[in-house]
Amino acid sequence: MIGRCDYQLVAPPIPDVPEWIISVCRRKWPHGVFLDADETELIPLNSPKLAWRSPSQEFFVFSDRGTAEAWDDLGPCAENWNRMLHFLWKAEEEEAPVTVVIDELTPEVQKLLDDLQATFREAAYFVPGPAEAA
Amino acid sequence: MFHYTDKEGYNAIRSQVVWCFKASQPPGNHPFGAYFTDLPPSTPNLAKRLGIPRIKLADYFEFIDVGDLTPLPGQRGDHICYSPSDYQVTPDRQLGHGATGL
Repeated sequence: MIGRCDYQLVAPPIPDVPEWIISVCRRKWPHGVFLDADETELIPLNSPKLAWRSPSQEFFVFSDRGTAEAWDDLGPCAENWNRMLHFLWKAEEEEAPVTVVIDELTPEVQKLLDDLQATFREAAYFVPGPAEAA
Repeated sequence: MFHYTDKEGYNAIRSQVVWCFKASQPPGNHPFGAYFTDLPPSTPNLAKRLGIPRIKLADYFEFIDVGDLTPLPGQRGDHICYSPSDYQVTPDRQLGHGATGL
């Protein structure tokens, strides 16, 4: 009753973790689409709509619209292997855990996870320290 | 708590007075076990959340959770849990079963 693989990353305590994730996914899949877990609208990764929506705590990113539309019927299969990424994150005080659900940890996917973790480390530099925040 | 399955699995489970959910090795990097979720059939994008095709959500069993299941590691564990061995649900815990319509 469950499929795919879960991997854990850590993000800094910033509110726009999804935006950072989407930026990495956009580089990988320029024609990709975003889907909030509680919604049905597929939004292109390059759409301005993504910039002004509230951060989603659970969402999917697909390599393309066709993959997104067929996923439920096909489930994980050769045609869509590793072409849907499922993200879950929680804003926390110190660090935000991020779960990434994939089909298989291939070298390509490992690179994506490494890119995400590096992006999170980079984003941490933009988090004001206690003195600056005050 | 819910367990989803296809028609074949559904008929096998409901054929017994005491529901027995068989433990097995799921695809991916998860423990051997019988899996369950508190997400109802009406949950948006249920197939994607669970990582399985819609056909495996054809039927459901619903029962009272007694807190003896283990959450999946990671944040999917907020809604997915498992028993490392076959899991039995006696009639006093059974709430319903049938087609999900998904």
